[in-house]
Amino acid sequence: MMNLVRLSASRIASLVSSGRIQAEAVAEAFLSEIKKTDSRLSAYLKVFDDHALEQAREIDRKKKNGRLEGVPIALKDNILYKGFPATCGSKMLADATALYDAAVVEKLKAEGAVILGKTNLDEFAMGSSTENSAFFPTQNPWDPMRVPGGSSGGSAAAVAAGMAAAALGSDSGGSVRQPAAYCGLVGLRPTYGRISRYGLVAFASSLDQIGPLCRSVEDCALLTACLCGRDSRDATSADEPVPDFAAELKNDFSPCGLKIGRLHPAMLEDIQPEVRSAYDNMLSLLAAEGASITEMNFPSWKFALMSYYILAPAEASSNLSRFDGVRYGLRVQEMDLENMYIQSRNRGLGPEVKRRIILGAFALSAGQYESFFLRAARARKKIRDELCTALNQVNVIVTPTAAEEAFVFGERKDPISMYRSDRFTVPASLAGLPSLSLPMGVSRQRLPLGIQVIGHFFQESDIFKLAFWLENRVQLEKILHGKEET
Amino acid sequence: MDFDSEFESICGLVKLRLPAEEKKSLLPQLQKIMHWVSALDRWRALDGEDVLHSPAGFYAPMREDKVTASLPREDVLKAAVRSHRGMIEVPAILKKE
Repeated sequence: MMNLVRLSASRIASLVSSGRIQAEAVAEAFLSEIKKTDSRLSAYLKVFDDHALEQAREIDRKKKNGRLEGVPIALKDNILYKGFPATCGSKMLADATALYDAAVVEKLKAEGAVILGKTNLDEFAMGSSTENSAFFPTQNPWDPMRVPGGSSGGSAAAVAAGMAAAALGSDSGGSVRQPAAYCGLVGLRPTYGRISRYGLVAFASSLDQIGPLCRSVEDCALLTACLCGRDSRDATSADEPVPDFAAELKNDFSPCGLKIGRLHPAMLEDIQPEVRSAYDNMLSLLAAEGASITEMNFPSWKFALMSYYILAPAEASSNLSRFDGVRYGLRVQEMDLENMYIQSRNRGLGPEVKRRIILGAFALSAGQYESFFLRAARARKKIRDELCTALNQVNVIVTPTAAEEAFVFGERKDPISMYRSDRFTVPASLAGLPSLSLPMGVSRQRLPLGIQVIGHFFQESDIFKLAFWLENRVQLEKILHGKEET
Repeated sequence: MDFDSEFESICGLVKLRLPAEEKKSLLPQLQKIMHWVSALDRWRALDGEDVLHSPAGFYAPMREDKVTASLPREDVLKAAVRSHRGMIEVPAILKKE
């Protein structure tokens, strides 16, 4: 008897499309798993029990012949799904209901996916642990004393624990890739503009991208191809052809002759030793297969975090000014408008969000704009140019995703120590480059460790092919989970 | 960098007024973060560098100048806490003398 919740998204789609299993049976299996497991992990903010079953029955009645037929997918709760809550992990939107579907939701529906529910996140996607959710933290399925990462921690935990076949998150500075690493998943941040941001509640508009979190590279490739494409409702979405990323994986690929950039040892000095040795071992494996490994130094990365933590809060201070109690969300009744704004925001927004709004507004203020915001924007250009120069010499750049395994709850109370979780993921975000995290091993504590593959603009194909080869060669699935049923 | 003296006016601009307790914990954290990010000043290579505001390495065409439907009014009004005669109601801006 098949364990439906252990099936890959690709396999589910194939079985449902061919009629060998019913979408309703698949949805029931995942909903049952959520009932059994989520009280321990708190990955979900809202489960769509009846609605998910109704979606599944509709698919059984009228096949859409979509690429995601019957696949149960979870959505991070900053992605709008019409008629259902979109809290963004915030008291400000605790009772808010989405008025329209995000572009990615329209695409998932068109492909026959079943939306299971909305997952937990750091408030307004600001955080690296999901501890900043206004409601409750989410536990890492690998060790419930540890964080799942963030801000897409709920999505990552749901997929890692078999409570969704795949999930969508959003990544501004690493919020898909880092939870993917901490939870043993494959997570992609696509090229900026690949996937429409229409219906994604904005945090930092020049950095935000929606990305999939999956248990395999093939699933990630499949989902990405379904989500990409020009959308006139998102002025920053690219008009680029979308390859069939999953089909490309079936072509023969060998790393022989591939040029791979690796980080100079000086950039890896203070990372967890197990991360370092897993990283070195993986590169040795690639070298043994004929890949050409080039050591690369990125002096600009010393300043990448500072640049990010000026630019992102600056954009956030503008984006979150809409949450003022007027049109939606929490409103504290006051005698005058000014106090209504102030009290609604005081009560609705959490400490990290307030911190970033104030920081961002300061960086944009008249006397500081030149020395903070513009300087950070100059740094961004330098970081992007440095990465692009490197990617003109190599096909991909490989780095650790995170410097360490998932940390314990409460370990990073100091904001700067939390921000440092993003040091390997932020550069690709600033540059707008695609990057993927995939599991590369486990630590002594039996916690997953991830590597990051960064490609050139719109070259997700290169990333997927290498990641697929690594996944199969190293057979991490056996190490991490036990072999997945096929 | 005079963050302390600007703190209250920045809070005013972003429509936040922190209670004393909250200000006591937030202000030192903000000072520390501002000090940390100001390290960008030491990166002399930035002097004279161009800025990059959007990483989009492509030209995103403008959409056609065509009027299309927006959200249904009744849905928008349902989302607001108070509405009156087809408009969202808020406290008065101008006060009667």
